Amino acid sequence: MIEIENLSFGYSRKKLLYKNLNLSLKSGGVYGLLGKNGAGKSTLLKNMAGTLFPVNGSITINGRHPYKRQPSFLETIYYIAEDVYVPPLTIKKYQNLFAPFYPKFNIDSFYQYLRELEVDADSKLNRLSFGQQKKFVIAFALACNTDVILMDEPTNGLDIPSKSQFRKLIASVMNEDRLIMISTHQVRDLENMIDNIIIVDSGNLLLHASVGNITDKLCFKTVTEIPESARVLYKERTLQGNAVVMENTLGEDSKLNLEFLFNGIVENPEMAKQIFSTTQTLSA
Amino acid sequence: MKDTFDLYRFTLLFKKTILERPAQLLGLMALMLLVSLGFYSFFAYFREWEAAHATAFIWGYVGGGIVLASVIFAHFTTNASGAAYLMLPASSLEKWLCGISIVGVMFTIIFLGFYRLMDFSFINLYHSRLNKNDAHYQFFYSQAQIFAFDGRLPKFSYMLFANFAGAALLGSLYYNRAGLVKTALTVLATMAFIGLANYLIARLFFNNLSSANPFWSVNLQLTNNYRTVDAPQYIKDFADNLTQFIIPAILWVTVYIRLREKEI
Repeated sequence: MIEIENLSFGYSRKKLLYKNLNLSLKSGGVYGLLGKNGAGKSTLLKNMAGTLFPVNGSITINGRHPYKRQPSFLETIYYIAEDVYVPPLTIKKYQNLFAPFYPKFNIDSFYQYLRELEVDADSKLNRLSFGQQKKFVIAFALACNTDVILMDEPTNGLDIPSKSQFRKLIASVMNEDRLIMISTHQVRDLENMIDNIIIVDSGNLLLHASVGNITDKLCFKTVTEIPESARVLYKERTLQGNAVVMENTLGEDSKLNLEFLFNGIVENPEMAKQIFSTTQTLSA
Repeated sequence: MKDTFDLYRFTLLFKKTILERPAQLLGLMALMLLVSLGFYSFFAYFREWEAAHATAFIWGYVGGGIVLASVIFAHFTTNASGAAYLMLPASSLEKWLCGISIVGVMFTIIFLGFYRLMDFSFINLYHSRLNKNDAHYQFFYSQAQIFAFDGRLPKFSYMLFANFAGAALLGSLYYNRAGLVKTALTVLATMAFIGLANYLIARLFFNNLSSANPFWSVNLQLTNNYRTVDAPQYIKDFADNLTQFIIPAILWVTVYIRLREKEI
């Protein structure tokens, strides 16, 4: 479980990016952290990982403070940065040197994930392409069986089949003790994979809701005419008519469209706040 | 306690640190030994044994130690490698001990061992090639002696190593890119500032000041004569303690503090 209480953070104390952010994330969920470039997604992940320290407030992960970087805590969390670091080693040597630091590392799962992601297990890491290196890091992170996995833009550099394989892999490794947070600005990559959505923009938390809650509150559909009384969060003209995201006043079932949701929330944060205010804490 | 130090984890970390970048660490050490061998061979060829000993020792040990110190914590050139290092499940104390063990202990042992072997081989070869019937045999024989590791020059080198390798270690944690160059500039700027401040302060007390050596002496010009006024012995002793123990200790301990507080 990740608890963020009154978090303030800025690269300069005079100019804070996050001010008094509150957020509570439960284990057993895959959280999608969405935001535009420069919205503060990586910064939030780094604060959770403990590679950046809050200016004020606190972050606890399963009751531990990340900034202390204690080994017993680091064994339970894996952070994948946006760019990839791999030493000039073979995969076997890497596993021999790094896996012993993670008590729950599962060697069979590791090679299985590598096979599923189509990474040659005999390769030398620095000779792999960026996408292959990224897949290797993802396979290693998942095999470590840590309670928390933080991924910063994990699908960057992956080809289309790999993105699909990545989604399947994440679904297969989820259990109720695990919490996976994936940040991305490529919202379509996360479709059908996440069960909770967090949207940030310029250090503000615009939305934190489960997929079920979102589809309860919002309706995603294509209409020929937009009802006058409807509160429309987002609309986009398509060949079939107007694709809209509007308040779900009639309790309709619809399929979440992450891209439209994201655009709607970022363009109309106040309306989104009003629609979701009955059940969710929205403001940063 | 296990979160502070665990011997098994430290062993894993040590092994990982050496084998993760073998070309960088072991290759660099090998290169420094070769540099030392190069200097030694060059001067030994001309039978300049004193120069051979001094240059090989200072460039190999002090120079090599500084370069090695600047790379041992150089994980912060990219966000990914820096994060991977900070997130590795080992304590800051273990990471610090690992770094200083490699630079301060392992490199010192390897260098001194190599140096002794090199020195012994060259000098034995030289002695064996001397003509025992030559009238000047004793003189030539005594020209080359095994270099003692507890003489003035080695002691001075240990002091330089402790200070500059400490500065390089610390610099690599402050400057993410081109750490060695930026650290060298910072050290030079600090030394220039101390020298200038010392000179200006000395000028307040002496009208005919020629030059001033911090914590050591001032040189005065009296018409065409030069005179030196030494600092009191207790000041010199303080300066010795400062450069031999206090500054290195501050530098090496600050590395640990910086490592704990490092963000990326």
